[in-house]
Amino acid sequence: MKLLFKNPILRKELQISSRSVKIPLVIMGYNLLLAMIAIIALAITNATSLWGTYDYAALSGVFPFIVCSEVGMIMLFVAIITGGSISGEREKQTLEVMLTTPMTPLAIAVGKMGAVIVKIMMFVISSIPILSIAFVLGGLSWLALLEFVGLTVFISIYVGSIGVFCSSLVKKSMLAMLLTILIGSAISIFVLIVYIVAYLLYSALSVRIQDLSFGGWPLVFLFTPISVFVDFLARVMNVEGIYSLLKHNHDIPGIVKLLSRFWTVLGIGVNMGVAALFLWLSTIAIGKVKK
Amino acid sequence: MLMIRDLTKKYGRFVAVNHINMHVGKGEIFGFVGPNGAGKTTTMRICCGLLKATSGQVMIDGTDAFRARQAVKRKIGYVPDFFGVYDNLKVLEYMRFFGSMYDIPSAQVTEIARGLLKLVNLDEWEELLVDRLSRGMKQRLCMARALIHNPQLLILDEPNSGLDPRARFEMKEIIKNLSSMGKTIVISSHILPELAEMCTSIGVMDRGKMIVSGKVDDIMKQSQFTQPIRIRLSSGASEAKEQAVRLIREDPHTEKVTFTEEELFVTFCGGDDEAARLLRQLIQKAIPVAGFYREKGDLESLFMKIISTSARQATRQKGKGDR
Ligand SMILES: Nc1ncnc2c1ncn2[C@@H]1O[C@H](COP(=O)(O)OP(=O)(O)OP(=O)(O)O)[C@@H](O)[C@H]1O
Ligand SMILES: [Mg+2]
Repeated sequence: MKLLFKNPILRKELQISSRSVKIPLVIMGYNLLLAMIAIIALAITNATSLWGTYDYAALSGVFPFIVCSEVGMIMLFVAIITGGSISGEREKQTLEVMLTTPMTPLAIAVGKMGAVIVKIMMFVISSIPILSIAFVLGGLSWLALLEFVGLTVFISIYVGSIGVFCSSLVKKSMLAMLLTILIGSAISIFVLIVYIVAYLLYSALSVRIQDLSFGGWPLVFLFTPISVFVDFLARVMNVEGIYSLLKHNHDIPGIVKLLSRFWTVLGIGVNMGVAALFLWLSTIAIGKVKK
Repeated sequence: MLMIRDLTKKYGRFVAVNHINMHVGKGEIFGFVGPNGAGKTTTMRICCGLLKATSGQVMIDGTDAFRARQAVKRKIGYVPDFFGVYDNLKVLEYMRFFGSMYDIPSAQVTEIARGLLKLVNLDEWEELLVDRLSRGMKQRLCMARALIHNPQLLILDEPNSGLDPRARFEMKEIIKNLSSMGKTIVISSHILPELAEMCTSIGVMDRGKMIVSGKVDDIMKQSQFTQPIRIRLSSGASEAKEQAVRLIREDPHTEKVTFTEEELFVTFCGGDDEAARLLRQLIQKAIPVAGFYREKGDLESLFMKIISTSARQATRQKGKGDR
């Protein structure tokens, strides 16, 4: 706890960012963009009645657009911010000075992560008015909104840990950012490929496939944080989530079905484990004494 | 306070630090001199735990620097040969930032930081953004930063580089001040005379080797040996001059004699006693000596001499190796 709440880096980052004009500008741009997406989505889902009477039920159709674009932008922001986190300190040669103090690499990495989460929270909280249009007018509960905010923290930690890792590995911030996006998408794409290969194998071996939930393989999607959002979307839009995909399949062991019921918790657990792994790797890269 | 034993650092096959030994006692100011690439920075970075040594041992205040890294970090204040500052942080914030890394309670850290800023004459600038500071001010800020946890040992890597004479003078005053507060200081530079004034001991390094080290006074004495003697004869005594040259060449301490119209320059490798004997001989032979003068040891020329000797040896050894 002390690692997070009394972290000198976190405090310094916030001090610096409170002074820069960049962040309010970016937040404004971000909200404008979000509002635009909301309007366009409204136009699409409600094209016939945009200038006429409103079909409020159709508003719930806007909601996935907003959620997806917000999550996408957050992931991008986190990659940009954390991509320069360690490499920036290295460039200014302040990392070296820090390493002569009792500051541990873990504290440095955690401070950087904390800073990115606080910044992302500013984005998310500032966008609550726009979000609430989609959520509440769309007939969703405030609780769903709260859950969404929680999930943005989760995705920030996930992408942030990859970002800090890449930033501790390469010297150029730009390269670290691209590498973050690359590694992040590679993990999700790899999971998808595993799933597809399994599917093809099952077909080739002509095992009876009832539906896409064959053999409980959808569980591999626990290894991508995107599935947690998909599950969230499905749940709040009155589908039962990933669980509903699996529950009618009689080939799947009961335990798998049971697990899929707790998709959010499991998904968060698994991906936070992956984040911890990246964080651990980055502490090694930060603290590595040159040979 | 600082003890280095048989320290070696290799980059691949290149030996940057070659089995050096040194000892810096408590309260000393140790000057670390050497030309570019001598291995000063490398040695200092190893002491601070930023580089891994290939072999050898570093003890700081009785603690093994390679084993107990965290403990040693609290004993050392390191000012690197670069600044390491943030653009968007104010002077006092910068100090507080590093203070909090040493777990100094935030109630005290401001007070300590202010005290240190006063010590380095930056107390009027505490609200200024760090990147607005001049080079000399930044250097002093880094110094204050390195002192925030009240370390016993201060390691300064070329604190004078790029500073104007006034800033150098200020820096020197600060260092003397710190020394009087009981801190042990290791300071590196390219320029020996600059260090000699304030240092108690010096070590001259070249190509990874420690060539000379010891108390400044001892090295000064040694440097006197290398100084030429200037002899002025009363004018119009050309015969006497020839006689004098002959006489001087006979002296076993003479290496070389050159002369102009009225002066002789003698490269003499003896001490004061030998020089006095030479003068006595000249006078006994009735040579009209109007002036006999030996300059005091000049550290700069000693330094150049040490370095060039070591360079000659290095090339000779290399030649042998090639054959
Ligand atoms: N990372 C490295 N890889 C390879 N060689 C290196 C590395 N760092 C330093 N060196 C070499 O080690 C030698 C010693 O360097 P060092 O920086 O210690 O010298 P210095 O005495 O501090 O010189 P200067 O007065 O220029 O600061 C140099 O020849 C340098 O080229
Ligand atoms: Mg150097």
